[in-house]
Amino acid sequence: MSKKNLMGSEKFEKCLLLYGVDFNKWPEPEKYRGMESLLNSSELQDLYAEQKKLEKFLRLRKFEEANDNLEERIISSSLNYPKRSFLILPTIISKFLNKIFNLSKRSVIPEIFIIIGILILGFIIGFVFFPDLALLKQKQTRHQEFSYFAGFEGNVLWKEK
Amino acid sequence: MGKDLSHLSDELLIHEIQTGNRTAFAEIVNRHAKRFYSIAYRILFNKDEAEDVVQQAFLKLWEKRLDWNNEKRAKFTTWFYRVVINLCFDHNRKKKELSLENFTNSNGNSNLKHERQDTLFGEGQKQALLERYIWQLPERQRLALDLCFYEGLSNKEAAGVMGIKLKALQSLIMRAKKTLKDKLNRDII
Repeated sequence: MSKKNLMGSEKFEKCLLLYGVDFNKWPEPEKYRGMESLLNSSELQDLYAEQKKLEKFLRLRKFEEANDNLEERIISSSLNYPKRSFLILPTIISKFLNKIFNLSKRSVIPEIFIIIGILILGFIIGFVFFPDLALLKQKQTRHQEFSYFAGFEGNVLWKEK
Repeated sequence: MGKDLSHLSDELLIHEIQTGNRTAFAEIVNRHAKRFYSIAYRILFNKDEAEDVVQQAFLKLWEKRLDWNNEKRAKFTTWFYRVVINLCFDHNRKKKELSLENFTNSNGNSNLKHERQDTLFGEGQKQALLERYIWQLPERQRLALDLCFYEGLSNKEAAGVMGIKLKALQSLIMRAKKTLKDKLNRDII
């Protein structure tokens, strides 16, 4: 390798700080240039030795391993949370709508809840405020059935009433 | 016993978790709990607190699993590192009394006292000094060092976790290591 291709001390130090003393962690173009430069320069060898010392120092940092039952503890704690199965139906509907209408990928669960709420409200209003309408229809149907089975023609019985 | 899900990627496991599959949740916990504990410990410097934070993060994942959007999210580990780190910072903020002064007084000095009986720069004393130097670094530099040097993330991954550009991350690491190197040369060598 010609001297021109060797790495300067500034660049070499920068790479050492960024990627460490293990050349395998250096990106490809710098890796070979760095190794070659190290062999050819005593200045870089000093920098390398200094960096090695720093890394050795940094590895002295205290670390306590987690308890062996950490995973178990987390998993058993999660059992206290319900599965929230009531949300599964809106999720399925949401995914279905996203697929059919090619909506944005965001979840439409809130909108589905609103629609379900409106429908329930509609039924409640219908039964509370217009109960006669439902009963009337029911009554008419029953009379028609009775007339049919009793042999009357059409809605004779109903019309008389 | 549930199915063996060890062959599934993290993102597929999350998809399973969304359907309420507890086996998938157990798999992701077994796969990653220790890794996230490690970064939590580096930030909090307390085993019990680090374990609690990791537990809290995983429970949040289970509780809010339906809010996860696979298409939008980055890699699971990148996103979850962020969750754990934010919980750690919140935890530290709440616990103001654990200031640098307290830390160095209680931890560093007591260690130093014990180690004085040994050689002048025994391992224990070096360790105490290192803890102090690291705590004296600005928060972002410390985090960059934790992620890249101690957790072994690539510079690109660490930048993704911190939500900053690669150049900015590299600048943080260089400044952190330079500061530590200067202090090492000044005080120990």
